[in-house]
Amino acid sequence: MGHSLSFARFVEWLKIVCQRAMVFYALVFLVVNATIDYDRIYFGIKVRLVERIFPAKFNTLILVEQQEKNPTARELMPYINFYKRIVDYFPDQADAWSMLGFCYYYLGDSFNALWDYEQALKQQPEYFWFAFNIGTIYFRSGNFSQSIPYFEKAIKTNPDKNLEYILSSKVVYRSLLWELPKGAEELKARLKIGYQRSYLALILSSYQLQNYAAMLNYAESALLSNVGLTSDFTYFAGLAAYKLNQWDKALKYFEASAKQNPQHAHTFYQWGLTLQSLNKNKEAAAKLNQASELKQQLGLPVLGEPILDYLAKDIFVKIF
Amino acid sequence: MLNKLKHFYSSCPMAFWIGVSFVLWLGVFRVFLSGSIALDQDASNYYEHFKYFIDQIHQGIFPLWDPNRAPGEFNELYLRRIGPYNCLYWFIPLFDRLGLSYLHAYLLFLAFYYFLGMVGFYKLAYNLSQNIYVAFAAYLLLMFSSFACLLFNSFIVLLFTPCVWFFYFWFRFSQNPSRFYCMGLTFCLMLIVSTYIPFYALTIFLSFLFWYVVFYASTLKNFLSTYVRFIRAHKAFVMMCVTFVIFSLLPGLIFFSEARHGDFVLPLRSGNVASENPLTVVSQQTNLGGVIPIDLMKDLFSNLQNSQLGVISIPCLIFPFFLLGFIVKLNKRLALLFLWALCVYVIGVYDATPFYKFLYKHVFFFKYFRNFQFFLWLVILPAFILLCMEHFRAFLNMDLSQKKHLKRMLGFIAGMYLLIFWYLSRQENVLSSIYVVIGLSAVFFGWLCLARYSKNEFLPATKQGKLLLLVLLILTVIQPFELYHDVAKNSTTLEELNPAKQYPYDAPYQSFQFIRYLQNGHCGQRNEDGALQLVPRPGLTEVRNPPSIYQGTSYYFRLYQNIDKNILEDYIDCKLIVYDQAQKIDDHALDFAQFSEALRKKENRVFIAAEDWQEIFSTDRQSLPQFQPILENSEEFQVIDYSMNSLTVKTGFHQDKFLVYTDSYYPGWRVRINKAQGRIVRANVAFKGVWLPAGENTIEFRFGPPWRYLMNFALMILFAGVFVYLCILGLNGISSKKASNGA
Repeated sequence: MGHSLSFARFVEWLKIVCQRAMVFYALVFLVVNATIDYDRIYFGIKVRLVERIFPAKFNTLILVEQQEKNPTARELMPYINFYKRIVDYFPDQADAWSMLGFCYYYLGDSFNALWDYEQALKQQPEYFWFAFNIGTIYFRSGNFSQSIPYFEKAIKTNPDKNLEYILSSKVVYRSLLWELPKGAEELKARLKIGYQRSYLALILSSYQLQNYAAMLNYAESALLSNVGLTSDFTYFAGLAAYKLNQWDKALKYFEASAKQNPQHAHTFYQWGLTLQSLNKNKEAAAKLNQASELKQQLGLPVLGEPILDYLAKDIFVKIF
Repeated sequence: MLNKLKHFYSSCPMAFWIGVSFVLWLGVFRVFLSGSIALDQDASNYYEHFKYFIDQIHQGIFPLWDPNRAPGEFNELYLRRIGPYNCLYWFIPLFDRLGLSYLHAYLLFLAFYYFLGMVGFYKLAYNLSQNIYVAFAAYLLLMFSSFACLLFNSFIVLLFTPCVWFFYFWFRFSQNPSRFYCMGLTFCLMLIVSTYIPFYALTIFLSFLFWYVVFYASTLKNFLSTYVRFIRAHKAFVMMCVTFVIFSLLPGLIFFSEARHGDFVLPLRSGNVASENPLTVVSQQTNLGGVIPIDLMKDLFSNLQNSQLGVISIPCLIFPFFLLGFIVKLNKRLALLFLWALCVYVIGVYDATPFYKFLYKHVFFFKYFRNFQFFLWLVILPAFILLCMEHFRAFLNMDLSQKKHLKRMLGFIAGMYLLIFWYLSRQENVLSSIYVVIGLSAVFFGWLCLARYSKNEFLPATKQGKLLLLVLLILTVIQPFELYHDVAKNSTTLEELNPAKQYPYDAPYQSFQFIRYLQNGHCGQRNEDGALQLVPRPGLTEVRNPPSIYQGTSYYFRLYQNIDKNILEDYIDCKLIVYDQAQKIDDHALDFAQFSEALRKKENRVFIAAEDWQEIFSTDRQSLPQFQPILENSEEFQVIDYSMNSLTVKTGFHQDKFLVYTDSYYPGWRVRINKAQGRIVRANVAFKGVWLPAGENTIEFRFGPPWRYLMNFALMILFAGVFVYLCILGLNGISSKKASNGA
């Protein structure tokens, strides 16, 4: 009797529940769900949600990249949220990983920046800027030995493929390209500078590690790769040869550097020192004088080796 | 004054509340309405279409052609977009005349048109619920939803307002057939069918009808007999209405049939779909658009600070109303609203279900429209609000006179709010106003329960009624004040907008310019001899990124696809070019490399399609190596008249020449040479050309046959007439109602 009463009450209760609007909505929705391809929907949702927080403007990031702006955390957070959302939904988007790394780096969080750039590099091992930026983060924190493999990796990448990759990035890079005054046309020039800076970083890192043989090797490779700054790279080759006591080689490079750029005060200075080492004091004094005159004329702060530290400031984390 | 206000309130209290809420809405969106935020996406394009149309009509010209969109475009598509016959658009020049700038006049018009749509929604909701509080809450929730943001991001309000009034008039006509409702129905239909895509409205109507028949089949007979009775009693009137609707359909039908000739193309729209009609769209995919539900569990309340124009958001007050569905009994109306919205949603997710594919294949009009995400605003959001309001209505009608019922209800409400607060606590960056509204709404529901228990009557004239309306208004408005402040902050201001993206028709464009001034084009500069030359514009890069073509003539699109964009853009920089040599070409075997080289070198040789070829130039005639661009008026060449549909020039060359007007060649253009009918020649593949005899000539290019202008002006008058008649019928109805009330 008790059982039948409770069953009757249960049926009564069930009847009441089934009459509720919300139950009907849920049941119908479940039935309709069976016809829906959720992979498609979910993909659509992800695209929309990314669109939803798509920042209206990206010029802040370009200004940061060009070292024209010191961003605040408040300024960077919308971008971090945006790129985070993309990598949450599309973990194989290397471009978004790299931009997340970029934002973290300028937020002062090098640890997260490195991790994100590593993710990007895993996805796109042949892309220049990912390797370059990892190398740069190590370089700027003084970990020269750790930076070298990344810069080496960077200079081995194919420039055409790099351009292709940037232009194929429909969401992440396109919005940034719009902010560049000359759009995609700037990319080639930027990439060339990137290669230049990679060689420079390799030379400076080797110099810091006092691995002058490697320094000479990188300077010579830079000259062969035709990335510009010829007189500088020739000077670095001369400097490395000087450090290795290869006086003749050093003299040859300094002469070439001076020919390429007669205003290159550092070349004349180091040339003078080399001549001094060879006890050609008169000639050495002439070169040192010439260097000193050029220094004054050009208003240079220092001469000789400290120029390397001075040049290091040109190596910083870039978008592309 | 106060007495007058009191009198006004007592005679029509809801008009007062609706007016107040609109004023508040204006306050919430003041930054957008001030024009400082740039119109985004389609809203910007539609602003241009309106500006261009109204500028031209103001001068007595119906703009069938637009020479400003390089290199000249058939304007019908853009006219169909806006539906140019809507007499309410005349408020824009009216506001302009009253001293507002065009931009402000346009924005004010949008606000009023939106308001008109919302009033229609209020009336519709009232018609369904017969409860002013429910209707008012529905109106407020829709009005303060992010639908309003679409005024500045989309054109959807132009579809929504006629659609919502159509449904209102249709329901009222079905309940109480009268000339007024029939005329209202006719006017809305005329507005809907005079746009080039009446298919959104058609889909909405048919899907609603389907579910209506499913749930209310038994009432159909009554309705049909009512319609028949009305038609029999008002044969002439109904015939007139049907004629008006058919007449309104004509421009769309003509446009559709012209599209089939293939003279213009819409490459971005039609993709690679193989169809004889360029209006056909490629079968759509979920990731490219369509109705995608926001991730309700994640983004309904989280991070709304980052919201932007176009993102869906509803005042959070709606969620308690929705949750009332746990205690409200299912009825036919709820089932219909839910299934209708769900049905449209299922169609709207494109290829994620088989339904869209089926409809695309078997229902002809599904091939001609896309952007199904608009259904979210046109059907799903309003239907969801109506559904929640039906919950509210049922809640208000619940019997809470007994203490045990009251306790049960209060228990349910407490549980519901615990659930909501628990859910909110798990969200990221919730707006503080959401907590305020949810907290206050808990008190509101408690108060409603107690009032129902005390058997208080909610009449608008009573204190309780006024308080209920006021609370609904406050609870709805709090969150939008915070949310849309953030949306404004996240939007691009007009100042930040790239100058190239600013509204082009705001700059002077009506007088004839010899040079097009394309984005990266040329300008005229005088050389040492004082002659004008075409030189690259200073300060501009040599890099050209010509925009992809949205609409263009098929001939121009062929050129665009086959020759260097820089060469093409350089060439069309100059609008008028005179040649001394001509070469016959076979369109099907044209050597584009040679042709492109001739354009690049500015060779004095025009290429003429074989079907237009005439052996006029003698081979031994004098000619310079390069063509002669016309950069200013001279003794030999003067532009004497110019409008958007025509160009008249006077020439006085000492020998025969060939004139190319680098404006797209398109059927419908005619030329008169010295007032006699001449022949327009398709020159250099895509442009208009004409053989010029030596000596003085007057050449007049004109677009479109006279019947087309007549039809368009007649339709404008017709729409205005129908609207005025509708207003008269409405006013008569009001005064007779007042008289009967008085009696």
